[in-house]
Amino acid sequence: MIAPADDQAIDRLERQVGRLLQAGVWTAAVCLTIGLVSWTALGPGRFGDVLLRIGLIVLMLTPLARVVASLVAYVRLRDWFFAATTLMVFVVLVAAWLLKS
Amino acid sequence: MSIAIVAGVIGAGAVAGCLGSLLGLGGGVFLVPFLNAGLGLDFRVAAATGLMTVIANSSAVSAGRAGRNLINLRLGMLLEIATTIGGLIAAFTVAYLSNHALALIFGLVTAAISVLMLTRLDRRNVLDASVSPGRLGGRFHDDDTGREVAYQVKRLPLGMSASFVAGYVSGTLGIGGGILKVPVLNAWCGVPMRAAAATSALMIGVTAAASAPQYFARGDVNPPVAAAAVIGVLIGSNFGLRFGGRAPVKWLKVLMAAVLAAVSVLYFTKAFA
Repeated sequence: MIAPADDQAIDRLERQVGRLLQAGVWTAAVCLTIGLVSWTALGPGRFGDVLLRIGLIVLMLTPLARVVASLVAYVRLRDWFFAATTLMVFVVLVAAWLLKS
Repeated sequence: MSIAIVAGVIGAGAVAGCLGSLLGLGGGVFLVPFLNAGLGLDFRVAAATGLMTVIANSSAVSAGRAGRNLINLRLGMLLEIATTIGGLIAAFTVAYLSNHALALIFGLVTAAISVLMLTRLDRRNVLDASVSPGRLGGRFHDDDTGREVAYQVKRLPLGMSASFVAGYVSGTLGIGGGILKVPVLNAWCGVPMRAAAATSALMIGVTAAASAPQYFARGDVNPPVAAAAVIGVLIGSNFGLRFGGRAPVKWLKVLMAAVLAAVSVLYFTKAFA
């Protein structure tokens, strides 16, 4: 049996997810901007390179954070069908980081 | 890499981001050909850059749209199982595809979607608000008619299959894959264009996150190029979001089809040259 859609809870989730995504993207954007300015102004160097890499890693982790947030929300709503759905997506994303090609 | 190239990539990213957010795409479908054919970057470096911009654009567009009820989180998450698996498989198989094969895939994908968009110009799929949207459907305020509307999701297996293909194509070419999902969700699965575009915009970031780490680990990401592209795309998508609500859907589709046809011709020429 699947719990009925709780419109208000989903609406709240949508706003929370939006804020989370925004925070991730802004953190990444700030790192990337400072890194890129340093890279072009000072030439390739450790400071710029590290900042650029941190920015890109934060960026790649942002969608993962949003999947975790959704997972927590569906578990809290006791919506097990969508909790399982979200868990599967989470597993695939973690595999993308851990598997070696 | 010179300041001129950085500025050029930021500019191209801004144009791609703007078009992308207007059309509900990641913008990668415009940026990747520019980086690959225009700047002469390797297909995989261009794809890796494309994936980074897709994640940035997806997060920015979804954040901007949150609260408008256009994003269907449940449908999106269900389809993401298929897109992320497709993206993960792509990240592992792309190393074995030749540039010729990649150009051919790019040409075929863009040609197919271009035709699909033109043949399905007026399908809106919106029902009266009193209709139950079911477990996967949704309701939103339709700007075109000024009313609350509902929609039901049909042919879910077809939507899942299209999402898998979109995920694979996304992970292989570095584009969002929205160009594949949005028309299928709109034409066959009963999802209105704006809801399909908004849901896809949210999904493509998660999809790209299933293949980007592999490109990053292999050293296919050029950090300054990726940073410039991401910054450009963020500027462009913010601009596009501000004006996108006022553009008529029909002309957006015609514009999308024309751009994709041009990209398709470009890549068929590359594949057979």
